Amino acid sequence: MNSVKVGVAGYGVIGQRLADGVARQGDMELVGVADVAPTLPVQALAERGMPYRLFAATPDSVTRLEDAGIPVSGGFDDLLGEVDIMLDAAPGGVGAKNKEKYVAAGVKAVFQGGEAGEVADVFFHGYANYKDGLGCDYLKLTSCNTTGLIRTIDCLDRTVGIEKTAITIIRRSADPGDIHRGLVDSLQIEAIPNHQVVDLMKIMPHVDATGLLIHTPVTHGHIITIVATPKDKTTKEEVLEAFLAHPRIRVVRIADGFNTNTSLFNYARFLGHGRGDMY
Amino acid sequence: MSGDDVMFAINIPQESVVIPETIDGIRAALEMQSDRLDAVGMTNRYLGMA
Repeated sequence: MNSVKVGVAGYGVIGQRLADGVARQGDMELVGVADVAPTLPVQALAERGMPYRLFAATPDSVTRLEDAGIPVSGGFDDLLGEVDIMLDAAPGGVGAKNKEKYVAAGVKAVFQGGEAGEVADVFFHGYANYKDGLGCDYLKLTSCNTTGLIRTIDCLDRTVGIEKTAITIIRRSADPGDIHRGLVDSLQIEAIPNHQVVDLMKIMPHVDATGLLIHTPVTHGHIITIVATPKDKTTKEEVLEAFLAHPRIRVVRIADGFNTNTSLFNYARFLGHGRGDMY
Repeated sequence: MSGDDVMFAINIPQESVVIPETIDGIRAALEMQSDRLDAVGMTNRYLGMA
């Protein structure tokens, strides 16, 4: 069977990680990535010897990229002509514009959580509603918090059933290196319910969910506190057992030194994970 | 536990957590696997997740 051909639009924080993740799939081929400027991720791609071909996402970006010494393999339409599916990791709003090109090229796409809802046919989470995505042309992923949150709620839902949940998201206000949100020193609370629980209920309509979100001046990971009501009586041990068995949930103990969001970021670095990432 | 309710906390590594589920999305859209656990299992296997 031939490899599925995948392209990535937007080689930023998420796009560069999507490219590497796809490249690790034995049944997929990362055909190329597209961007508009010689940003740090693009410069790093070039310094790594161009493990992926770079395509200029807009005609006017070709000169900008080549002047910075970044090899350009073609335009956006050239990339679209070679792929079965695009992963869109462009800034919010740009994805919707890209979609017009995807439709015209007859190419499927997966959008990230930051894109407005109408861009996709289905709101998707691999563990919670895989079937709903089968054969769809345009899928939208849940945001980072919602993705992690659903992993755990879906895990418990499939073992003991979950009736309702109430959460507090302690949200990092910027990614490492971002300064566009300013240098902050306050806690900001969002209107209730947060969009993450609204999104969770779209994918898991049988769960009654509500929650708060508080922006905090940190960068290395969000924390979510969760209270969940199981349908069947359960114990702490049974819950831990379910989480321990789940391939995408890592259980840690405060007593072992995992007492901050940064402890997990550091641990991933100590393990030698690329970019200090954990999936 | 709080009565019958369970309380826990999770950490979200915001720059990387969406990668596995996005790859699941490729598998669903292109019908590479029709079964949920087959699909996430393939993604997990290639990403080195147990």
